[in-house]
Amino acid sequence: MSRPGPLSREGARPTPSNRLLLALPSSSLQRLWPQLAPVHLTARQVVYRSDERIAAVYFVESGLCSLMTTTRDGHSVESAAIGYEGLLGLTVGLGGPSMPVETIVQVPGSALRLSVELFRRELARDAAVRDVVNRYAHAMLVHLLQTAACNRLHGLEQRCCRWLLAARDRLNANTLPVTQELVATVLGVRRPSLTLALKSLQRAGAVVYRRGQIVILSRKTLEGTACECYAVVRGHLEKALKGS
Amino acid sequence: MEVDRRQQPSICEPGGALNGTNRLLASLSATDYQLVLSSLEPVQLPFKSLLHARDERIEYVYFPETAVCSIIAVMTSGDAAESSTVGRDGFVGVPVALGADSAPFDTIVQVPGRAVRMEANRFRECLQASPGLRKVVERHIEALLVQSFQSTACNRLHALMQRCCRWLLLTHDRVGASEFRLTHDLLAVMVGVRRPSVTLAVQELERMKVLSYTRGRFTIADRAGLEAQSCECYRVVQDHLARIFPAANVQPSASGQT
Repeated sequence: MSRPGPLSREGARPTPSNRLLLALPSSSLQRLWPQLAPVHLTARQVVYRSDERIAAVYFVESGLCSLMTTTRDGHSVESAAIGYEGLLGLTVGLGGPSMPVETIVQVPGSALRLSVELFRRELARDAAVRDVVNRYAHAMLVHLLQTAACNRLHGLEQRCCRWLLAARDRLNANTLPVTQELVATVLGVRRPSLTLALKSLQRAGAVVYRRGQIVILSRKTLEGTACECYAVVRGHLEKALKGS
Repeated sequence: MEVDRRQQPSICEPGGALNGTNRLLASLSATDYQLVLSSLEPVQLPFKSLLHARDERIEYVYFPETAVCSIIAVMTSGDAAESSTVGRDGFVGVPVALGADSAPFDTIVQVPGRAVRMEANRFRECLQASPGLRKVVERHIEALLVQSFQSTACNRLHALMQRCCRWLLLTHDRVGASEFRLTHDLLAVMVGVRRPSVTLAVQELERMKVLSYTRGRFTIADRAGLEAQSCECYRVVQDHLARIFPAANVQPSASGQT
């Protein structure tokens, strides 16, 4: 993986964008910082294959990654989207060797890389790091359990709104550099179905979609159409990041 | 010959120590087991009782022995779908182990039976005190994550019949007997559909002689047949669990074959 430049020397002030790192007490972050290597996340990069032994975890700084569950007949659904609020390789934080699903970069960005050995060492010796990772694990579990039910009970338009809102939160921008194809894939639907849903949202003035991007015009309208799952999951994430 | 785990002694009974049927507790070292033992209280969990309510502070964590529990997401519309099944293979109260005190889900008893429970605060103290206990608990949390990932895809991509069979298999494994109490109503919640749809699926499975259903009780007649009707999600998760818990026998022993 390519690196954008040398990391700041020990003693320099840490300047992460990643919210998990920002949730750490300054002494913990200060000690961790020199061990974090900045890396690029390039478009369509497969960060982890499912069940592949993980060598390093990544604290996302920018961009958007999808955790994709694929069935044996080749159909996929996104189980979670991760941006600067999160960590790639969470199961490592629970002692596992790998992730059970594929992690792929949907919107390029950057991350801070930490080897598994160093990550595990920090988890063992710093209760604050352990605590932040645990709280994030709970937020992820809440997301997955809510999404399992959402995928069963809620319609495409609701789920689409939910995804667009979450993507907006993670990218911190109303212009989402995503194609219809990508959104159809993550939602586990055929593209024509997704186009119909987007047309409906466009008529309602919520979004404008063009080739290669979806622009959010009215967050309020999207929130009104999204299922409650968006608010439930977001609420828990915010609670987890605020701390005990 | 099938082992009916309901006949095994509870972990809290004399002679039950470490022969207890909750796998998490059974996998503890002798020291860790001693640490938790005095705080464990045997309980009988009635059908459909609510162990943890959505967003309410968790008071007890539970280690099921013969009971099987469901974590259910209930929407404001009243529609509900099960997000996960927990039985003797794990524990109920993962939020407590992860530094939270509640979660936005209901946990109910799907198949009534025995469990042991511990006060949530005491569980936190034990986790603080014992790295060994933390490690064992973390494996179970990893297992729950694995199952949850699979469920997100299964619930989106797979048909009612396949998902019905998957849930029946999960329940069958955790109960450890070919007959268990479970209604169409509850199975409908687990699968996230209306009850009439489940009734149709169950009738189809009865026609295929895979199972029989009478007055709130399922009897699995053809385990292999049930697996054949399930989506791959059952097998995929089982394979993952076998990697997370290599020493454990995750399969019920030759159960259900007539």
